[in-house]
Amino acid sequence: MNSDKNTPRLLGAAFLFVMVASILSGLLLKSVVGSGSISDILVNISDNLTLMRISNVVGLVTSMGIVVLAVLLYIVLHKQNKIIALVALGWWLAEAISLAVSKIGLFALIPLSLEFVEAGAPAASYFQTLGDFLYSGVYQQGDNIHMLFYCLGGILWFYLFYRSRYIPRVISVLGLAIESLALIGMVLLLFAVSVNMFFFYPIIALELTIGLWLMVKGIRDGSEIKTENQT
Amino acid sequence: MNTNKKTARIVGILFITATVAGILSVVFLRPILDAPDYLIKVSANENQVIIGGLFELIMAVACAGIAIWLYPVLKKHNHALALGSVSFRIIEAALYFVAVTGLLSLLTLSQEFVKVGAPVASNFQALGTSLLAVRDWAGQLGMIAFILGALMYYYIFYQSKLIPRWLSGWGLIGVPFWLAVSLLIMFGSLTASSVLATFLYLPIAVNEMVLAVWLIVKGFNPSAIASGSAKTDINEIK
Repeated sequence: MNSDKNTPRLLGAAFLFVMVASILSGLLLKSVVGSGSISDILVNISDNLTLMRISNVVGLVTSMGIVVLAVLLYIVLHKQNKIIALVALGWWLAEAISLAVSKIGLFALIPLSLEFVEAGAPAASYFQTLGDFLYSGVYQQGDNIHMLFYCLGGILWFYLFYRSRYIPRVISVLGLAIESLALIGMVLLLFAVSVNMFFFYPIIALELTIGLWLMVKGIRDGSEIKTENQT
Repeated sequence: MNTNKKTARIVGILFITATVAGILSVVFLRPILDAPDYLIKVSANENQVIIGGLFELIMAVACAGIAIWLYPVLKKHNHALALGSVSFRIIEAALYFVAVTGLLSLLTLSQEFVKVGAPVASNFQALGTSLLAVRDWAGQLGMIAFILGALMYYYIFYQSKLIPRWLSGWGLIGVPFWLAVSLLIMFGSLTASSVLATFLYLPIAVNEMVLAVWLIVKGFNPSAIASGSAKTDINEIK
């Protein structure tokens, strides 16, 4: 399987698939919840149940796609350094779990929104507190933590790409820089510091670049691969 | 005892443990959680709820254990899919742990609810609904992870002939039924306790038990084990 030439191309396709699914899930969710108060969010969810469920399922597909991506990265890169590759795999499995847990928060908003509307959408009630807990707490914090694990794993994967020379080193160095910048942004977010989205936007360009590169060019044959045995 | 025979027996026992623990958790929890006054019932049946939760934890550990024990055998035939099945079944176990956390949080809530005199139409009901939803969805997402992990090892079993193809083929056909149930539940068209869901769960539930007995009694096909080892040796020489 390691020598299978299709694996790197599959890896490229997985990068693109996860990126598209993640953006699609986010856009669908935004179109359902809007940008109003938690009461508005609850009413919007109860009005758009099917769209909300589709967004959650696409989010779940993203979570499962991350696992496939992490396994393929491990298969391609573990010969560079098995321990680093295993740690990176662990971070991305933690990322997939955090993302799934954040989606549980969104799924749990569905029955709550229905009860809220059935009760006549009362202002300043416990529904808002509970809705806020599920949306701002479970969903948004779960999403932030998933990004933290993503950055930690991403730095290790791009380090292994740098070592392997499987892809041009300029992409690996850019990957290391972009993942590190996003990691700083995530840590600041966890400390409730307002962070500009430009900390995170480069990730889209990075995943698009590496996904297309791997799909079109694959990995370099005969490159100066440093395996664990040689080092 | 030969290592592969021992592995097959342990995996067989883990399959039975996961199924029995799963069934017992349903037996202990469903009559309480499905009742309209579940908050009062959860509080009144604390031990039963805790035992049900413990069975769910045993099931979670056994589910992850199946793929972990299978990994050394399966990776010789397909490293990527073997690692994928371990990853998905570990995620499945993690999500079952989240479900148990939801259950135990519900127990705390129900005790508070009874302490304040079980008020009708209070915030306790909405909180209870949300905790039940968290628990149910964590279980459902765990099922999706199970489906993906199981598809991977049934595929390797089928390709490698480690077990008879009728048995692995049965698994490959049965797993998509679970996927159908999970998707229908996610879109609100079916409930997990419905007759149709139980009917669709049956092919894999029976298959797992037949597979467990097969692994305990017969083990893996020795010629498939030998071909897997030969493949690994060739890869190492390369």
